Amino acid sequence: MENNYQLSRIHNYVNGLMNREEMHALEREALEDPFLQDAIDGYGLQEGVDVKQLSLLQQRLATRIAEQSIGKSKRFYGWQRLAIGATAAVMFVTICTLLLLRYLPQQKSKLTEVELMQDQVFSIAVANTGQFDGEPVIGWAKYELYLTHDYTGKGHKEGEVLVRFKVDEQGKPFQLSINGKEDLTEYTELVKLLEDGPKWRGHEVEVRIDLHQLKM
Amino acid sequence: MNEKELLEEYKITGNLDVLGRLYAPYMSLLYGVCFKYLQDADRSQDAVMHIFEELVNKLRLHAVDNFKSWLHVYTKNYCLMQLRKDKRAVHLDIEDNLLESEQKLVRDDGFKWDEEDFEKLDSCLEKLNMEQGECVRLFYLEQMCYKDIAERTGYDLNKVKSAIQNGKRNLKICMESKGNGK
Repeated sequence: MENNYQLSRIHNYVNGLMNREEMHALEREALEDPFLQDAIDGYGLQEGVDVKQLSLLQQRLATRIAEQSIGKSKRFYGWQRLAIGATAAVMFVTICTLLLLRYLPQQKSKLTEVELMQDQVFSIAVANTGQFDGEPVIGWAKYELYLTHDYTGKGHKEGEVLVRFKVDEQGKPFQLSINGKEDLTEYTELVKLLEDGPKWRGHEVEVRIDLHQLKM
Repeated sequence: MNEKELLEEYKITGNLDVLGRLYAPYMSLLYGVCFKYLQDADRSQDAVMHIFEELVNKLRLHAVDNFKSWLHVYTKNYCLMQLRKDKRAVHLDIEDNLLESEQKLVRDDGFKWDEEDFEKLDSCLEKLNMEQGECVRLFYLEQMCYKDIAERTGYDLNKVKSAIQNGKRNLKICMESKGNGK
């Protein structure tokens, strides 16, 4: 490197290892370059260049530069970051608490609403027309309770319907018709409850079912 | 990357590696400068490291054109401040401090000398005092080194040096006053 070359020139100059021409050249250079002149003066006063000292100095610089990366990671946990972290933590706890406070009373009110809806919103009455021999195995009263309890009102249609069906060997209804029609699409929930519900005995059934939504 | 680019990069990034690459080449010269003023090996080493620490912030704030001479002046000022803190009497040769203002004046490489200039130079040389004239002639015309000049003239080595520095400056002033600042 250029400056190592300068250093060895200074060393040679200070120690009288240069010939006249070289000395003159360096002196002339130093006249134009006060930095070089000062350095020569300094090494002259020290009576030579101590390479050991200089390499120690280079080492100190290298150590100092290496400290930067350590310093960076230290700063990673610096007060600013800690403050931001602490604020975030406090905010998180606050939000959690608020959510919890909001969520708990809501759950209570929901519970009461659900009870109201299930027990009181729909009223279902089942009346046998007496045309055929069929009847529910569990009895008419319990069957009516079953329908009332399980009917959720999905796609509810207000009013009375005449339901007619045959009972197969397993006691399950088949060939259903509602109000004389075999198109059951308007009463899917009711049909499902009838088909999947308690068993029937006899051969055929005709009933009037009144689906009524109670006013709240 | 050259020095200017390194300076730019450091100013933007603040990366100490870059500053290290700028600073390291000058460390040995800086140590010499520090020793000249502080005259103590340990203090000079510490000074070189302290100056580096100061540059860490300084070079991010200031744009520096000529890093080498800026660094020299900065180091010198740093050392002088140290000495002032010590409340020690500072003995400085005024010549050493005048020298740097000349730096710019002598950098006119494209200049061609003609007969007239040599005449002016001759008459200016005549005007120098005996010591300066003698030393300047021996140094610039005979191309002798300080040591030989000291032996030839019997002057002290330091006297030779300052006579040449003074003589050079006086010559410059004389040439300028004759309408030739080249």
